[in-house]
Amino acid sequence: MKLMKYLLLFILFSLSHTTNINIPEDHHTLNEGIKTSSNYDDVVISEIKYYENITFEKKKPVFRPLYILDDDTSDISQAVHPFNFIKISIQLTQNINHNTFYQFYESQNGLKTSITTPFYWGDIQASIHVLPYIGKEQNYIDFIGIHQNIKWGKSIHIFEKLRWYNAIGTGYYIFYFSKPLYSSNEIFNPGIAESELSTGFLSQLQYSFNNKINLNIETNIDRIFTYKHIDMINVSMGISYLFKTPDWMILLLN
Amino acid sequence: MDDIIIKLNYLIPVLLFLANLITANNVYIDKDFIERDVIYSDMIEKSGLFRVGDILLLVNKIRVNTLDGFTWSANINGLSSFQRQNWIILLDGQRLGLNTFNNVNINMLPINITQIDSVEIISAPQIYDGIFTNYGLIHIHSKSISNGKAMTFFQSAGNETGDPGPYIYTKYKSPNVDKVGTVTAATLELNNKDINFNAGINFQQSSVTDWAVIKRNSNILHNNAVDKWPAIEMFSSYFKLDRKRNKSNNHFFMNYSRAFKYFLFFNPLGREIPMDYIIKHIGINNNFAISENMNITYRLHYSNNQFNKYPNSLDIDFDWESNNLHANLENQFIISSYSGKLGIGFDRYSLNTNYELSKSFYDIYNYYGAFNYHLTENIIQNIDLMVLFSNGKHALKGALLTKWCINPKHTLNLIMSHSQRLVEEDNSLWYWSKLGYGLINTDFTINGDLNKSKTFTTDLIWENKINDKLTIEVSNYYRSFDDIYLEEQYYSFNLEDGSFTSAPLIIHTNQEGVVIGANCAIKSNINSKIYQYFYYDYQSELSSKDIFKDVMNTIPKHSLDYQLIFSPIQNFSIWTKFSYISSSQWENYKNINGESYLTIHQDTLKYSNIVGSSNVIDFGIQKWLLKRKINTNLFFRNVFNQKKRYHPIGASFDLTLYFHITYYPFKNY
Repeated sequence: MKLMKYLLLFILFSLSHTTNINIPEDHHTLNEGIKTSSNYDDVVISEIKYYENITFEKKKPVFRPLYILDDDTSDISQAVHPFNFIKISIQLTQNINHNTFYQFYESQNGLKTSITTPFYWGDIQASIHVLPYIGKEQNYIDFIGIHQNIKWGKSIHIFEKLRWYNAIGTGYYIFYFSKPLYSSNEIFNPGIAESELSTGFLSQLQYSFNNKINLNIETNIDRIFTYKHIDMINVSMGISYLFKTPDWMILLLN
Repeated sequence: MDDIIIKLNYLIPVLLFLANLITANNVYIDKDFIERDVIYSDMIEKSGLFRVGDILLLVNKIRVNTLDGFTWSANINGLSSFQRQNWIILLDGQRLGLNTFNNVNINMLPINITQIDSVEIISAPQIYDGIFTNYGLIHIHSKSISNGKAMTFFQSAGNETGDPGPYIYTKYKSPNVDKVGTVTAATLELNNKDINFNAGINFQQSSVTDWAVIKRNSNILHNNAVDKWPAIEMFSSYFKLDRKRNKSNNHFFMNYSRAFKYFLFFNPLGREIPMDYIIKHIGINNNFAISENMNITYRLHYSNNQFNKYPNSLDIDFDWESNNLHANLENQFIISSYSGKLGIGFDRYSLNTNYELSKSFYDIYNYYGAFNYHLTENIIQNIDLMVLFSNGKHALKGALLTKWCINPKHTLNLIMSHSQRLVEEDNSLWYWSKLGYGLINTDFTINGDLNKSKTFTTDLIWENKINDKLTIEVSNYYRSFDDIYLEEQYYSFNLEDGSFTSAPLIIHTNQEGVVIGANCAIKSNINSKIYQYFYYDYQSELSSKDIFKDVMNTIPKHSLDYQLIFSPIQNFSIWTKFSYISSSQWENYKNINGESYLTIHQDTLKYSNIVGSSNVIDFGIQKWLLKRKINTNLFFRNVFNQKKRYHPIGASFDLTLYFHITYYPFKNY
C-alpha cells in the first residue's frame, strides 16, 4: 500500500513538474513565451515561420517544435506533434523482486524492445519484454514470458541532457510454455500458451548523447491478473535511437 | 397440411424475391409521432462494445439479465418481467424471428456491431411498422453508403482475468477461464445510387468463463460431442438489396444464422441444454407513393426457427421447427394538416415436429389505424387503434400520445395505452404444449385458462432543453397488468454435476399487478470534446399479488448510469461508464440459498437467491488510423474487478479486456 502511495506521489510530481507554453496559442511571440517560462519548461512552437530576435535571459526553456527542424539544433530535443518522431530502443532486462511466484520460478535475464512516440499530451510507448522463467521443480513447466504492453506518460527534463519519463499502461502477458500443458480438471483444452491481462508503471531515465542516441535506465512494475496475481519488477538498461517518423507511418497512425 | 407448409417453405422465398424485383420501400410520410429513444453509431463505436447484444447495455431504459453474457433478457421500461420475453427486434424494418421459448436472442442477428447506424428503442406501447409494441421494440438500422463500394473486416477478441497462468501445477492452481470468445466479420457493399447491394458473413464464439457454469455445461455435453468446451459457436450470413426509384423504394433481406452449439437456458428444466439453433429469414419491405400525400407500404416476411439436437447426456431433442409468415399492408396519408395510417396484417405461426399436434398452425389477423392532428397550435395528438383476431377471439389495443410543446425549451409528453393480448400472440411453449408439443410432457400444470391479458400504461415525460449544451428529461410511468399468466417453479442444487433440478412448473393464470417507475436523464455537452450522460431509474411493483411480486423482485429497483466521452481530437476518444444496479431477489431459487460448491482452488462458493448490488466501471479507448480506414478499440469491462452477476446461477463478469479492430479498405461509412 505504501509503495502505491509513493508511486502516486511520484507520478503526480512528475506530471506537474514542468509546464507547456504553446506559441502562438498562449503567447503570440516567442519572446513572450520565453519570458514566462522557467528552466526546462517546454516552449512548444507551431509549424509557422517566426521573424524575431530571441532573448533567453539566462533561462533554459526547452524548445519543442511541432516537427523536427534539423538535426543540429541543440535546443530541440524532440517533437511533440503526435507520432512525429519515433524512438526505438533495445535493453537488457532483469527481474529483481521476490514474492510468492518466485517460490516456484526463477527468472533469467531477458530483453526489452520498445517504440516510443509523442501521443497527444505526452508520449506513448509500445514494448515487448521477453524473459525466460525456469521452474524450480519438475512439475513447474518452464516458460518464456512475453509481455506486450502499451504505456502512456510524460517526460520532464532533469537537466539539459537528462529526461525522466513516467508512464502507466496496460498489456497482455503470454506465458509460452516449453511443452504443452496436459489436460486436467482445470484445463479442458490444453495448449502451449496461456495469456493474461496486465497493468503497469514505468519510470525511465534517458541520457542524451546527442539528439538521436540515448542511454536508458528504467524500472517496470507490472501486475498480471492471473487468479493469484503476479507482481513483477524489472529493471532494464539499453540504448535508444530517435528518428523522424516516415511519412507512410504518420499516415497510418493518424 | 404438412405438405402445404413444406411447399410454402420453398415457394415463399422465391415469391418474395420476385415480388421485390418488380415492386418498390420506406418512403415514410411521418414517423415523428412515435415516442422513441435513439442511440447512434458514434456512441457505439466509442464505447468499444463488440457484440450486437451489447447495445442493450447502452440503453438506459432497459434492465437486462443474462446467465452467460450471450443471451439477454430485457425489461424495457417496466413493460414486462424477465419471464415474459416478447419484446421485438427489427433489423431495417424486418422482424427476424428471434423470439422462441421466451427467449429473444439479439446476438443471433446476422450483422456485426460496426454495421449499426442507429438503434431506436420504443419504450411505450404504440403502433410501429404495423406492430403494437406491448413489450417494447428495438429497431436496428444498419449503415449504408450513398454511392461506390465499401468493405468491412472486423475482428475482436476478449480475455477475462483470473487464469491460473504458470501456477497451473502448483498449490495455487485454479480453473482456466480466459476464453471469452471472438467475433470475425466481413461485409461487402456496392451502390450505384439507385441500387444498393450488401452482403456479409459473421462468425462468433462465446464462452462462459464462470467455473460453475462451465462445469454444469460440460457435464451435459455427451461424450460424442466434438468438443467438451462449453462455448457457443455461431455462423451467420445475410444478403440485402435496396432499390430506390422516384416514387418507390424496395428493400429485400435474407439471412441464415446458425449456432452449431448453443446453450439454451430452458426454464422448465432449470438448466442449459445444448442444441443446434438455426434461424432463416427472407423478407421484403416495399413502399411506393401514390401521390404527394399518400403512400402504400407492404411488408412480407417469412422466418424459420429450428431447435435441433446436439449430443447431450440427457438425450434432449427439442424437435422444434417453427415458421412465421408475416404480411402487412399499410396506407399512409396526409389530409390537410392531419396525417394517419390504415393497415391490415396477417401472421401465420406453424410448427413442424414429430410430436402429434392437434393443430399445426394458427393465424392472427389485425386491422389498425393511426391518426395524428394538432389539437392546438402547441399540442399534437396521435391516436393508435388495433384490433386482432385469432381462433375466434379478438383483442383490442389502443394508445393515445399527447405532445405539448410548452415553449421552445419545455416539452411534455403523455402516452396512455390500453391493450388486450391474446395468448396466441406469445407463440409460447405453453400454447404449443396444449396443442400436443410434448417435450416437457406432464412436468407442468396450468392453473386455470390462458385468457387474454389486459395492460394499461401511462408515461409522462417532461423534457427541458436548458440550452444547446444541457438537456434534462424526467419521466414517470405506470403499468397495470390484468389476467396475465406467471410461472412458478422451485429449483434445487444437484451437487453431483453442479446442475439444478426443478420441481414441476405451475403456471398461474389470471394474475394481476401494478408497476410504477420514474427516471431522470441529464445530457450535457460541456464543449465539443466532452459529452456526459447521467441516468437514474427507479422501478417497483405496487400492491400486487404474491406471485407477481416474486416475479417483479427479480428486477433491480434502482439503476444508475453515468457515461463520459472525452474526444480531444477527431480520431481519438476515451469512454467511461459507471453503473450501479441494486440487488434483486429470485424466489424461484430460494431452495439453493446457502448451497455451496467447492471450486478447484478449494474455495467454497455459496449460491444465493439474492443477487447483490453492483458498482461497475467500464472503460474504452478508441483510435482511428490510416485516415479513418482502421478503427481500433480497447475496452475494459469491470475495471476494478467488482463482483458482478445478473442471475443467481449465472456467470460472474470479472475484469475483462476486449480488443477489436475494423478495417475499411475502400471507404468508411
